[in-house]
Amino acid sequence: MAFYEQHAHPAPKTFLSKYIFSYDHKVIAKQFLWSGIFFLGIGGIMAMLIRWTLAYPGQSFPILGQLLFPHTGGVVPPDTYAMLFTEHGTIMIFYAITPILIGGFGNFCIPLMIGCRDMAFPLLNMLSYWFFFISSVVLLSALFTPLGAAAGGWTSYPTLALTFGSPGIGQTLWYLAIFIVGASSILGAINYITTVITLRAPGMGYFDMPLTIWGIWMTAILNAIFLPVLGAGCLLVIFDRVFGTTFFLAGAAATTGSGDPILYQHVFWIFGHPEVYILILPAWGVVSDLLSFFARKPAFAAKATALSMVAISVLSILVYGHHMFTTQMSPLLTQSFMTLTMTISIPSAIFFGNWLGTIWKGSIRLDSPMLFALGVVFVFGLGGLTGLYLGTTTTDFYLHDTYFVVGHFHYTMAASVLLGGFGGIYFWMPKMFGVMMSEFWAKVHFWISMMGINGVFMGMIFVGYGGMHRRIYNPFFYEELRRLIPMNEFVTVSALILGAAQFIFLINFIHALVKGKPASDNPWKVGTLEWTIPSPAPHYNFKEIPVVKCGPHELGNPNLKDGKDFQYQTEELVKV
Amino acid sequence: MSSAGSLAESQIEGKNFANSIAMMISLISFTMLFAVLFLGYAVFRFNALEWPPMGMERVDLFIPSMSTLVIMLSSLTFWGVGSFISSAQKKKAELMGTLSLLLGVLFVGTQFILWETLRSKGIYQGTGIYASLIYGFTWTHVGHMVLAIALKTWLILMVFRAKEVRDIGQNLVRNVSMFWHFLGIVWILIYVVLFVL
Amino acid sequence: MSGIFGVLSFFGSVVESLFSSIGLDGLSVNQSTDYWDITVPPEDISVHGHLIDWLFNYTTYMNIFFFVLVCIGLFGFTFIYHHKKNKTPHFTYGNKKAHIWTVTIIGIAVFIGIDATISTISNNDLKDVFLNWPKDKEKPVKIEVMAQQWAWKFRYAGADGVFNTQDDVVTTNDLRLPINRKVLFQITSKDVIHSFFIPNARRKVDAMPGRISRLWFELTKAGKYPIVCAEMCGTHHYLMGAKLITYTPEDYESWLGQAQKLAVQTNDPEDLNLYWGWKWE
Repeated sequence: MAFYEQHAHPAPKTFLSKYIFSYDHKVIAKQFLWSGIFFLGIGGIMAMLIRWTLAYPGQSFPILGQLLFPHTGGVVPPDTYAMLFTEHGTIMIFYAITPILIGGFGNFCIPLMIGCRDMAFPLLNMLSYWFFFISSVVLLSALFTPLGAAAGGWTSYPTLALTFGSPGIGQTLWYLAIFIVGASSILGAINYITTVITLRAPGMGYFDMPLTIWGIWMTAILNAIFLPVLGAGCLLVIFDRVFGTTFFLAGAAATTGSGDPILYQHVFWIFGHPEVYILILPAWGVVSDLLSFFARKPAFAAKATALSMVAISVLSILVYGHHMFTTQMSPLLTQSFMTLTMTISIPSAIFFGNWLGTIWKGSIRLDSPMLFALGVVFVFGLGGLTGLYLGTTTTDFYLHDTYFVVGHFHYTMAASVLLGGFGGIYFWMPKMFGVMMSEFWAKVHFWISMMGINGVFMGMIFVGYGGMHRRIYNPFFYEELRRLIPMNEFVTVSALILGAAQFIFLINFIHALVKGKPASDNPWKVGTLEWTIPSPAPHYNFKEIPVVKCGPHELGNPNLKDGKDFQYQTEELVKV
Repeated sequence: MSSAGSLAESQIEGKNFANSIAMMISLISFTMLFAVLFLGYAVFRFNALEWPPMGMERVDLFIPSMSTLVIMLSSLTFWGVGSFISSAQKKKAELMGTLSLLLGVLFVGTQFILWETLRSKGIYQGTGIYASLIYGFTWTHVGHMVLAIALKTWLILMVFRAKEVRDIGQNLVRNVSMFWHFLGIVWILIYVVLFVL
Repeated sequence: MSGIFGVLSFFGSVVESLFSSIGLDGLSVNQSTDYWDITVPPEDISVHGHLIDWLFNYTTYMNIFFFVLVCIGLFGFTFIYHHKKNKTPHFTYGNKKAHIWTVTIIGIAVFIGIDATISTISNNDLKDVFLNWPKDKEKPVKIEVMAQQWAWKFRYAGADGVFNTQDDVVTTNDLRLPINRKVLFQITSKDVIHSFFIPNARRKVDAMPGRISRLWFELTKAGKYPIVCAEMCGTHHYLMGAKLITYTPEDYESWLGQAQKLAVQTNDPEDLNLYWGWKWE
């Protein structure tokens, strides 16, 4: 229950205080959204450059190629290629998904869905965005340094990431940028956790919160605990690079004393595995809610779903070693990590129970947010199942560092999260901007994206199983990989189609902002608290703090009257 | 709607609670950062054939012990600040506050002396893993101390400027002192684990 | 002008790649590329590679089974319970005994059918095979591998049987092994982390500076096979391939004899670069 009631701030007057240095969580959410979409574009272009090089090596990339690489006639050079896949991974994870799902939806949805006027610490919130902004400037600046940006993969393992392996300031700037973006996320996490604990509307117990909030809340908890681990790792590598310490130095270059590069891998993956759950939890929550809303019935086993989010968060730290099977840890550690990795599929299975159980015997409306939510169930099913091969040590011996891994994590991290994110954008568009996006073009966007997604990532699964290892500039150098050329081409063509489809989203989005149909207060006819206020949400959110009397998924109750099939959370629960 | 007075009271109480939660989460985050450093230390120490490795000499305990004394005194005096604020003794709070702040700055000073002494003995940060650990730990700790000193300065200035010292929320004092004592505990752990054992 | 050609050739390659990836590219049946090749890994030439392949296939069949069930649920429910067909949703929170039992039983089936089974099989394979190092009395072929940016160096002990001596056979990017005999590797790296990957043997292990990692297998077929580096190691990571040539035991002995003679003749004892090896651990 709310521990206190926040004052309604007076409306900001100046341009700067309204749009740039705003304390309003909704404005900050939009700032994160714009930044995230911008970086999604940059990361996407990098992906196209990578795919082009893999399918058509030696051929100039159309139009952009001549602009970016005039000295090679438009062909991506090998060192730039390394930079591209490194920055693609970094940007997509930290600068696209994190701001859109966590910064954007987290900031926008939490106060509105739990019934309060703003985050617990509005100033901290604003700082969180500006730390992010500074971090993105640092990251992008590395692209303009003489020796280029980081090029050791987004995981940046020492000793390649130390000074002798990656000379130049680019790699150091990468670690600095990650440290700052980590700080930004930790500040955000402190805000989200405290807000959910202290500012829920009167009557809203934890299990009356929508599952979107559960997902974001667990994400914030994981962020607060595990981002500092990455921060410590980054700090230690910065010490190694800038001050000459020897934490991770080994091999011939360790002239004054030797450290342990594998320690970095442990530290990185202690962060890294919870990170993948950080990225997917908001999308899981959004999907669970959307399926309920558009099947017009309560979320199936909602409490169990919320608890399995907690379980997965707790288990996430215990499984990190499955990223390191090929580093030959002790047999006991190896076997333990495999067994624990198997157990983490149990909470994921509960999610499928929730999703399928929710649409079972529903009355399903296939609006665009629902299509995206259903799409997530499909792609996450594939993604999760392909993970089983990688969690099993012996099959991982063959599949590690092949395109099979790339296909797996893109299905789970990219496909599921982005589809969930798009579903959320289409869904909350009316509340955020007061307009509806075109349903027709949203559906076109969905279908083409789905085709593209499955073409790209299933193709990668096959190519990886065929033996193509990752992070290579020219696969045709290997005679034995030439038989995979047609499949690589197919992946690239699918990727180009997928990329092109995102322009449909962009145009739809911008058109809606400029000329969109004004939205009603509750166009989707659902009962969570944000739909009890006008669209777009006024700056003070709630004129009067709502009092919550029932859960977030009260849809389809047969005893409801007046032709309504849902209840607002502020209404007394009608008994069945 | 309840009266303005009790609304304001519950507001302050609620905000205090929120601030305390935020401080707890921050402390958890900082703990994880230092925990990684200790994990690194454990890995290096337990895998090394001898400690200090490469036949290096142990660091002389005098300066680290002085540092420990100074930081413990600064925590003690800071605790005094807290109790003088709650008993509305402004002059004593100001005195204790200034003392605590000076001791904090002195602690940072002892760290610089430690680094200078190590360097004069030829132990630089690149001289192997033992030296790297000592420098790495102390740099990270000093970085956090700088942040803590800034916070404490802000609080002490508040004490100086306040008309009624009791107006300064107990909660604020408690949160800042939590951070300060946390860093003191981390230092003691560093002292014991890295220098003594 | 080139822009238009670019666009046209792009569309051309779209159509071409779509058709060629399903086998319609004008190649005759007798030509080498069998497009079903893309769905299988390279030929398994090792004694124990089939364990990995079998486990992969088992996992795949189980995955297909359960994913088909999910799809039946997903597509089926979406179709049957579309609001035009089903106006009234069934109001339930999913917390009744029947619901809990259904989900639990399905969950247990998945866990036992897939997770528990594959991890047990994999665990047994690890213990009994992959981490079951050959004993000295089995006389495995012993090879030291040094990975560096960007080449693979291999070392055989030479006639004296001791590593890092003048008579060692040292090759670059050229590994020769006998079939039907266990081979034991000790692997390290000179500079950054690499990974020693032989797809046809289904095995890889990281080559890490400051550590020695181990690998063993037994091969079954003579021929020429690729060795690749499977960990990002710098700009020319993609060029870091080596060749594995497997011989029948007789051919191997004759090659080894020749190589050892050559090593004794050409190895320069003054060349410090020769002594990158280490005492066999």
